[in-house]
Amino acid sequence: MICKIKNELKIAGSNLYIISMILVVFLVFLAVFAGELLNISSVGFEVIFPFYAAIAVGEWGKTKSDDNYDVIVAQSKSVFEWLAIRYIAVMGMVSIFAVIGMASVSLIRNEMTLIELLLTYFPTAFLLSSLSMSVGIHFGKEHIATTVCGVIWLVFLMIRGLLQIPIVQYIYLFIRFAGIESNIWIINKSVLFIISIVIWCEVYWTCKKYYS
Amino acid sequence: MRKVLSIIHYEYKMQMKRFATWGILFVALLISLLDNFPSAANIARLEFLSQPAYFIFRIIGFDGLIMAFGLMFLLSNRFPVDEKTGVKPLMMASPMRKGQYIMGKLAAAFIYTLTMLCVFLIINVSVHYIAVPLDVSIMEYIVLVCKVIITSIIPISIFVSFSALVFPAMMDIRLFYLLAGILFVFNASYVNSADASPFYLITSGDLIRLIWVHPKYPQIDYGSVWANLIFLLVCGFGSSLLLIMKRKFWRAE
Repeated sequence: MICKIKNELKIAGSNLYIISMILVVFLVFLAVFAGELLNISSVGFEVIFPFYAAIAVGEWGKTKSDDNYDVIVAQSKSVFEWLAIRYIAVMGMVSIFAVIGMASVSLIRNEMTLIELLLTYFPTAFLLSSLSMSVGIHFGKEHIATTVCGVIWLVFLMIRGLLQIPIVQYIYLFIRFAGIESNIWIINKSVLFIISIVIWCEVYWTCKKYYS
Repeated sequence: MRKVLSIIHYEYKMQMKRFATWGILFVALLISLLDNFPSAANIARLEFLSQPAYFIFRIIGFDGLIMAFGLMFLLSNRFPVDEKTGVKPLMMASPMRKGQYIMGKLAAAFIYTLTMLCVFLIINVSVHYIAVPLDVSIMEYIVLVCKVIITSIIPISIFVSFSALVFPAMMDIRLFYLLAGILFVFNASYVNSADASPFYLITSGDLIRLIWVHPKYPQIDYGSVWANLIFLLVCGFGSSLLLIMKRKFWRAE
């Protein structure tokens, strides 16, 4: 398994590390120099980093748009296993950089603890990246997964006003960024996590139905 | 000139035939009509919604951002895909100059973005015209639409089409997506106020205040309007100049 993940990371190339590092440095820079009005923890790790995770999974973790897709499908024992390993490799690497960024920002700004940041980041990133993976397995055109996730991400950013409707608070992607102070955010993140699991079930079902 | 026109023709036709183009238009229309359809509930929520000028201000300033963001993704791979599919080496083998190739691509992207933003605007305005039982002449709508196209949609189209086309040809496309995403975060989370808007806003900068201003704060900061216009145009034209100056982009001439 480790060996397969290493192979996937080799395929992804060095830009994955370089761009992830640029993003971490950018957020640390903001944490040091941006004023008190900007909440870097929620903007950086609930909004920007999860979007980046979706981009990374859609672009470095290509599935149907991979040039060698037909060969991989023909030769793999399990397409789902290949997808999962590719996802774990890319998402895992992005998340390692995210944790480094979180630890630094948490130390510099003291806005949230590391655990709180992890709970804020992971469900949103998991949902967007899982969606990216799901779109990637259905559409063969390049960049479609990123486009779909990007548009959904932007729409959620723009419909903050709908948080007045109680049900929206449970499924809104950026609950901490929206400034909801109550403990509802923990339920919200659990709901996002469950939705991500449902997306993965759909991916598994698609792989079983079409590629077994 | 004929070569440039044939590139424009092909690119434009190809983009307009993409399912994703119409998917993004559909999503943006859905969101804009849910938010701004002049129903009793929406008019009660948004005081000036029955005014055509305010409606257009909102459509372009708020929901236009979704269109711009989606179109940016669709345009971003136009140069990389030519390289990947071998079209670019084929072009380079033909008696075509670098300027003609870039010009054709840029012009097609601009016309495509302009068309889609205008279609988005015209559909919304038509719905408003039919749904609002106000005594406003169609001529007033036409004048407003022309005004917003000239003052806002053309600069936005230049910014989105040129930068979305050029930057992925010069840097990793994922880095471009990330940078664009960060810029759009600031745009999407900006809340309108009586003060001058930041110059780097794409659709909701002070340019859109030339269409409608809040009656309580009727003054327009023209310095900020110019700053917004200059930002959009300089980023658009400046990025295309960068590509033209990049020597490695084309065969040695």
